[in-house]
Amino acid sequence: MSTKLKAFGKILKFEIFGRKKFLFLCVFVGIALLAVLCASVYLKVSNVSSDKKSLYFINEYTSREELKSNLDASRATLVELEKEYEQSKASGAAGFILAEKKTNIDVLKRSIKGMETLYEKNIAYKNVIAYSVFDKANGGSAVVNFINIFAIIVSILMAIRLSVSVPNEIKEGQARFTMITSVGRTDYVLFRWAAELIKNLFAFIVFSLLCFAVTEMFYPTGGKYVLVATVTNSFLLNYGASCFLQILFCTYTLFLISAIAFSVSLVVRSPFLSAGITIVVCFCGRFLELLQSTIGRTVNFTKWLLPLNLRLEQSFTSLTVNSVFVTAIFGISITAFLFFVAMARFNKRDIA
Amino acid sequence: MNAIIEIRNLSKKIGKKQILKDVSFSVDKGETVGLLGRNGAGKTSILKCITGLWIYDDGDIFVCGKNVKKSDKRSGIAALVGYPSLFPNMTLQENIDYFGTLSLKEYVARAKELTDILNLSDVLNKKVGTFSSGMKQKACLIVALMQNPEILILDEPTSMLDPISGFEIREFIKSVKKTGISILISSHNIAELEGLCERAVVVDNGQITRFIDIKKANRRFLLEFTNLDEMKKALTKAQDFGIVIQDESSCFLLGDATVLKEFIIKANPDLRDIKNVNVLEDAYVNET
Repeated sequence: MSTKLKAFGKILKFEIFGRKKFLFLCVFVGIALLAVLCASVYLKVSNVSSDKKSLYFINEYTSREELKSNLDASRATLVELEKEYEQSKASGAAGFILAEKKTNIDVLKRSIKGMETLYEKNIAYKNVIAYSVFDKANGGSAVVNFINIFAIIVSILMAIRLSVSVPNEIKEGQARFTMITSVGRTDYVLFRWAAELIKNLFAFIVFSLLCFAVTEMFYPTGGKYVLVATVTNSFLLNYGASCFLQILFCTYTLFLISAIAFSVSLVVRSPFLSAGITIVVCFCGRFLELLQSTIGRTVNFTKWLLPLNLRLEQSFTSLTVNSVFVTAIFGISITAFLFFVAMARFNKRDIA
Repeated sequence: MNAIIEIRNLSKKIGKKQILKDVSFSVDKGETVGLLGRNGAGKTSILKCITGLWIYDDGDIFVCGKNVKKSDKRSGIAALVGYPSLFPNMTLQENIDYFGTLSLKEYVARAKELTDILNLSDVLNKKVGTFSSGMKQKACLIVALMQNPEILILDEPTSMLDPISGFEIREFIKSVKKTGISILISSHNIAELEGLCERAVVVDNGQITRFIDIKKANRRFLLEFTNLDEMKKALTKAQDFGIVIQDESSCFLLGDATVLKEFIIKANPDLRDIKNVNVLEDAYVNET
């Protein structure tokens, strides 16, 4: 094992077992789990009437034949809508009218894709819910909601902690020790970042798995499915897989937020300013998201800005943003750029 | 060449202000060198550049043969520069373990030895934030020295301390010096440097103005006699030394420190008092 890895191992071990803060993190996870249990009991997640369900605008059906008939009707409607769209385009209709018609077509296309999958797999309407629509009406998927909420809490705490770590060390004078060791200042700050990320990811993943186990224990979702449908594709997942996917998406978010917070901490020397900038940078996308939903689908100016909210789950099914792949590449590219600029700047800067 | 620290034409600007200009000097293995200069002269800036805390513009610094600019890894060097601090919310033991892990060396035995020497064994499990200034400085010395460095860099190590704590730290540094470690120390306290260093580098306005070889410098003793006759009688035996009569009952003798001390003790039974005059202070004050 190289010296670098050994050093990182030692720092990670110290960050996890050497500081009492990790104990606090474990207590935090425990309290969060208790909150999940209480919330689950309150929401009564397993007893929801199907008429309140949101399933990509797929109408409720009681038999396979009814689903087939709905599917045929939707296909016919799609042909009509596409014809209308072409006519409007040819007659030089206003842009917002065309955009609205296009959105309606996409929504219908997604419903058709979903219906096709449900028909092929012969799935009953009561046994399926839509991915990424996490509300009381969607019953068992509330567990995914809890994972999301916990990821947001962990990401905020981690962002604040990471963003003040280096400025605090410089301000209080510990950096005059930590930056002149055998490890080297570059590796030291990288190790601090990685150790903090691993610690928080560990807490998040442990919480998510326990949360899934606990809610499944009290409100089993066996035999139910999660439908994922886009304009071009659709498929079914079981609850376990959808939770796993959610954990993966949140891990991506936590990773990017940690990298941004760390980058800011290397450039900004005031702990308060650093924390403030980090929160604005990491969560500005959420505000854009709100803005987008307020303005509506037709004015889609935030399409390329939304990757800044550092979330992938909405890209998974949304018609108004880029695909998961594009969003991920865009988000990673922006973060990587910030990261390398910050590292280069840090290496050329004096430690006060 | 035996230099463990070598600085060649070091220059540093902050904004438009020239902080250091063409600084060159070296510290040999096992040698203790003092950096002397008034406030804002550039002493701490030089030390920050040597440790790599500051990125310098021009010149070269070699520490243990390695160019500081080319690598940010500082093995074999321990430094207390610009009032460093341990983590106040962690206990001394936690701090020792944390910084020990960063040294990538065995530190446990030496840390225990140092805590015993500096009388901090009883407070190992107390938070550093609750320590007095003297204890904090001692704790910093433990953290710096527990990795058995080849070079110790100290920036005004006793300036914030009360006289007793300052004395304890000075005595400790003297004991560390005896282990053969190279020390580069900056201080306002000229007597402190004179007692510790072989050489002094005088810094002013970001430049080196003078080197003072304390070891080779003539010592100056003020001899006080009961009367003029006794003084005259004594001085007939002291023709090998430089004599400066101050008044009717006292004079200065200048010469090699060892020979002078021997002469004073053996040949002057009538001597009332001897005062060891601080030559470094004289040299520094006369120069500046």
